[in-house]
Amino acid sequence: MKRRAFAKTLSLLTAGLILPVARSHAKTYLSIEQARQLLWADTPMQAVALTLTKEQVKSIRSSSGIRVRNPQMKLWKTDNNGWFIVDQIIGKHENIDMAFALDREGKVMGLEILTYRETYGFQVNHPKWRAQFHGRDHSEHLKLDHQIKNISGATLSCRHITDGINRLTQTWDQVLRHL
Amino acid sequence: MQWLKNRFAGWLKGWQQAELNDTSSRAPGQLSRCQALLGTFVEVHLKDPEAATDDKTLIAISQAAYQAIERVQTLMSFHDPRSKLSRINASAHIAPLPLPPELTDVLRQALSLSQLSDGHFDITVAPQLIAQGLLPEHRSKAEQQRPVRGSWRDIELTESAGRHWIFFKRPLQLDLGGIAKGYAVDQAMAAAETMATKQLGAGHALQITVNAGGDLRSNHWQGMHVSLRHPADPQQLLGSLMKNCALASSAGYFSEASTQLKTEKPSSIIAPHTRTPLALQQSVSVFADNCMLADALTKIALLHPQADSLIPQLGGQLIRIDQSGQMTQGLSRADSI
Repeated sequence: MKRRAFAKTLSLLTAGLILPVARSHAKTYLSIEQARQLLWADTPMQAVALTLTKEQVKSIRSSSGIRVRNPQMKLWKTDNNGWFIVDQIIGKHENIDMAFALDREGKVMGLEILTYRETYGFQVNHPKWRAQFHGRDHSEHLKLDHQIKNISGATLSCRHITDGINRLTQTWDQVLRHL
Repeated sequence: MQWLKNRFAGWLKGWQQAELNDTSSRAPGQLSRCQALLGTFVEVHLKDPEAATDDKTLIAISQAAYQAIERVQTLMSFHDPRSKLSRINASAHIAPLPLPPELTDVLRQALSLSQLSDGHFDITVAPQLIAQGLLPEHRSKAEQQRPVRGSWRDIELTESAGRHWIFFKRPLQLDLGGIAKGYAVDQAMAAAETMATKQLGAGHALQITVNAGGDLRSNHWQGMHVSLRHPADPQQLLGSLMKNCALASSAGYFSEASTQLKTEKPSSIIAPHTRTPLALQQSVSVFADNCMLADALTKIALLHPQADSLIPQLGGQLIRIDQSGQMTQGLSRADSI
């Protein structure tokens, strides 16, 4: 028991040392259920338990150029072979929980921001950046300045959303389409 | 040591995978959404104080708001070479082009403010922003060789055959970055109101707020508090009471942020008379009775030497926050008359 208590103290102390001290604040928008309603209305869907294998993680990383931080997927397959995916996008200064709808061809039909946790970067005060995500699929690897227009200032957060879309469309291409 | 490793493995895993649970504990009759549009995050908040409106109705109302914003983006994006604005930039100096009503609204407001501010508000500074890499270049190499020397005075708006037309007396590159976001917020609010009336009937009590990265409009602003960022420390928030239904802010804090990230970028605010980027030492916030006006007035507030007396005459109420976080409240229109 003493050992356990010691480990607890040690991990708490270490946490204090290594966790970044950031005055962050979170904004919560939709619940998962609301996002599902919004993106898929009443289309029936079943939860699918999926943990990506090491090989899949590696392969998605190399084709999308984006690190897969969490191999455990949170996803639902709809009766018309589409997908509802809840995923976390981790940027340098923010964590964004997002919900995505992919159709049976793996195209992005819609996305919703569920929660935004920031240290700074929320009030990105710059104009005009076309969020041209809809209808993109794995064959069109999104690159800032090309398909998705990039602007200064907003790049921090917008880039990470673009990255997240690339990672998920590659995940669809390599794994989900075969399920 | 294995037990220690196991313990840390589990704990680290838990930390890395931060909670993705359905934690939102939302009251009924409310909906908050956020979408990446206009180069920022656009929030729509809906609240029925009687909690009687169902989710489907709220979703339809929020959808109307986002569609209005997407339409403004499609018309007025400088980045998109196929937008109406880009087509005007490409050829309005050759022959007059017809204007959709939305662009007519924005251009009229912009030109009227250029006149009233003695050119301190000018939508023709895009070439400088292109040179700084803040806006993309759509012109051909040959066209780029030709210097663009025009100003807002070279824009001609005319009306004939029941339509509005635009003509440039010289080649120009218009950028509506200083005004279109506020207009998009106004359009979103109008669309949401119309949809709410359609769904809930006239005289509905639905509270609607649209916030596009600090350009904000609310239909229940009385008594509402807003947070304004400290210009030197964007994480620090300063409170103010809403003084009108629309609010917009401009500041240099994200230029500061980019400096910290070692990707130094000049300010995106160009002084029209000198055509040089403004060194921002402060943030300004302007309240007005529409968000397009509030948005445009923030630029005048930063650029015009007599802004403090001019802003209230133009229908705005100004708040300045300096580098030390000192807040100065400007006069309201009533005070200035």
